[in-house]
Amino acid sequence: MKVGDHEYALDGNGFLQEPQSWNEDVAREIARDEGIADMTGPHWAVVKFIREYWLEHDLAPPVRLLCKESGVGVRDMYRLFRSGPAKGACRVAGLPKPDGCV
Amino acid sequence: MSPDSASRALLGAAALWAAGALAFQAWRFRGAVRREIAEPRGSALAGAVYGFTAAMSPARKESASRHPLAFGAGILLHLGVAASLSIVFLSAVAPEGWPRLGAALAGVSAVGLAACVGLLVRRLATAPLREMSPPDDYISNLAVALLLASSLAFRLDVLPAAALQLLAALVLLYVPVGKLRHGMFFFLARGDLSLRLGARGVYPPAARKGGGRGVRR
Amino acid sequence: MASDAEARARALSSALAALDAEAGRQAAIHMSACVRCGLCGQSCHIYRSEPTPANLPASKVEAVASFHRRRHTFLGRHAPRLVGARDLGPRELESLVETVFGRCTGCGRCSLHCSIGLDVSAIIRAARRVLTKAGLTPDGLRRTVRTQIETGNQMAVTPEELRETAAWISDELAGETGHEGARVPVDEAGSRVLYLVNPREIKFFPLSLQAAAGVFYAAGESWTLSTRTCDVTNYGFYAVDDSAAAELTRRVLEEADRLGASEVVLSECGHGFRSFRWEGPGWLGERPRIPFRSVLERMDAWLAEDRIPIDPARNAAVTTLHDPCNLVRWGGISEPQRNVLRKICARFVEMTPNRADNFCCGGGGGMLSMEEFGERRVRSGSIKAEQIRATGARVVACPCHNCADQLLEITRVHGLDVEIRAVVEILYDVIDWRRVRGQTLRS
Ligand code: SF4
Ligand code: SF4
Repeated sequence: MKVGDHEYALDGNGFLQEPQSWNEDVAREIARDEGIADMTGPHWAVVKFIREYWLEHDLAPPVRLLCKESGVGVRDMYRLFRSGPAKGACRVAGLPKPDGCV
Repeated sequence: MSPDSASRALLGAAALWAAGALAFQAWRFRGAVRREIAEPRGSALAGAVYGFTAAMSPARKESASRHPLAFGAGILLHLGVAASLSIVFLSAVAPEGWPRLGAALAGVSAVGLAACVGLLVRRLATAPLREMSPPDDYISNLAVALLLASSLAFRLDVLPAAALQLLAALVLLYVPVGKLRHGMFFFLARGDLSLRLGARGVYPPAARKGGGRGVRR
Repeated sequence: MASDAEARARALSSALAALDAEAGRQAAIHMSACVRCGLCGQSCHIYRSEPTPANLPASKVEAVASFHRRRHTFLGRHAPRLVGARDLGPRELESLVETVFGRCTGCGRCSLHCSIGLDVSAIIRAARRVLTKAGLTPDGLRRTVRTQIETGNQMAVTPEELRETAAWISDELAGETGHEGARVPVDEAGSRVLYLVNPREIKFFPLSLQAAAGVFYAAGESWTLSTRTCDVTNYGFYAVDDSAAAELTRRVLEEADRLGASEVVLSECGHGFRSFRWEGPGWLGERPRIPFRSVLERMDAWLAEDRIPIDPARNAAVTTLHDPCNLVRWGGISEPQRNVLRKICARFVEMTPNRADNFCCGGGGGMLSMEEFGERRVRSGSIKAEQIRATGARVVACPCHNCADQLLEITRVHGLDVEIRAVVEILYDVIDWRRVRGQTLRS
């Protein structure tokens, strides 16, 4: 995936190969691939919380915390990110894919 | 011992070998086809009945419906083998009897031989198939062709009974060690799968409702 | 480097021992039955979407059977070249990993269409068992099995997290339905039903848990989640790690005993249903004391008994149904979900082919947890995506959370504008809450 002058490698599931290399432009590009043309305020609130939580805990946050901290309602969450918080939002936030059935 | 009784004895020994060796291989799997321990949802027996009947029809089986030529050739080949084996058997037990039956069997063998050659050509001409085929596949095909051709030749009076019986014995020797042992494993494998699917309520399929089932894409 | 070589030698010798152990077992029957007629390619979604010889079901059979033949047949031992028998060495082990974990989901479709009728997936599973015993399970899969054994569920959801999510979802549920009594009970001894969910319902997709809670409430069922064993999945099944698989099954039975539950109900999950309902008794060597049922069977029964007041007019979207392989082709559950959907969807259309003849979505066999095969997984989903497109449906009912994730991804990649929903969510949406009596029957 090319963003600006940089080439960013994605893994077999479309997740950023090197989560450290994430930045907002990369987020926008992955979001476009998710079918999100425009990253709005709520999108960023969700993505940034995921990012911070992950940097601290090395884990994707549960959707309960995500809703609480970002102020996005649970049903709205799936409107913002059609693939849901795991594959959709975590991917935009540049996390590695969570293990298991996602 | 006359040449005739010698060849008959050899044929009998080869048949015993083939049957015995196949039976031994099946016996080795005696513990492997297990009853489902879980409480059944359907009938294992009904599954097996379906598995060996309707499940094999072209309406239900894509290997048949998508490949009518190969499937048809396969059927004819197997009918030919049955006919040839009957010719061999009759040559040994009733050399004089039932000329009309013999002629009919010869006809079926001839068609089977054509199918056998056709399947050989198909194997050679289909790239992925050719790449996957070890010599065993060709030996098995040729062994069957030999059986079909020699029983046909016998019926056309160009091959004596003793020669037919010797050639058939040779083919029977190979049966349990190469691919031809599928003559036994077919029943074990399909039986095992069908019994399991029967117990789970998958075989036979539920009544056709809502349309769509079995229709090819 | 020496230790590396040592490790590889050890892996090889355990693989050979495990391969020998398969010799008298079920899979070896099927390995001995293939005639290499090569008529199975078009029945396999992986071959159809990527028609290279290695993806032919027959090649996958051969990739395993050739090693068995070398050690356990007369000609294989004495004239290996003649019968295509091969020695299992370090290089072969490596490519075997890709073949049996990355080229086959064990969906079983080819077996129903095979000339012989041999069980290809039994062979693939035997090879997975061999590789798992040799310590060669792909990383993502191995990690997930370990997480499940160590934490009790595949996503390491902690008891506090489960309790807090249950409380949160209980609030949401009461708010949406107007019934204070509708909630998500946790660790309640004496409940009739122990309900198992896919941990992703707690961690990422709680709407299906909320829907199930609503449906249980409307039906007046007494049920509970457990913080010890909440997980309906069994990654030991995918890795073919029989002792892990048995352990996960045993824990659920023990927990059901401890809580005094008389039935375990399984959330919508293909391999979870197959594992608990069909394979579990084999792993444990005995029939469990209490029944395992899919929530689909429960919903079907409740609707048949008129225990849930519904108003199907609320649901006008054209809806189709995905048939998860492990639930339908390997599990025998094809009609309950159809009975339910016919009652709650005004416009229900079947995919073609369907039921036991369905195509795998591409996400089966633990494929979702193995990143290295992601590309092939998504490509192989094109068959299912086209099936969905042909129905013209806007909603795909998907009675498996694992398949649901694959469907979400492939419909996005293939530009399909459809919603992927659990059956229980569709039912929840048409419940007429004013007519729900709202008392919980205790056992
Ligand atoms: S259809 Fe069955 S017997 Fe024929 S090659 Fe495929 S797996 Fe083997
Ligand atoms: S079991 Fe399914 S994925 Fe595996 S070879 Fe057969 S059709 Fe293909």
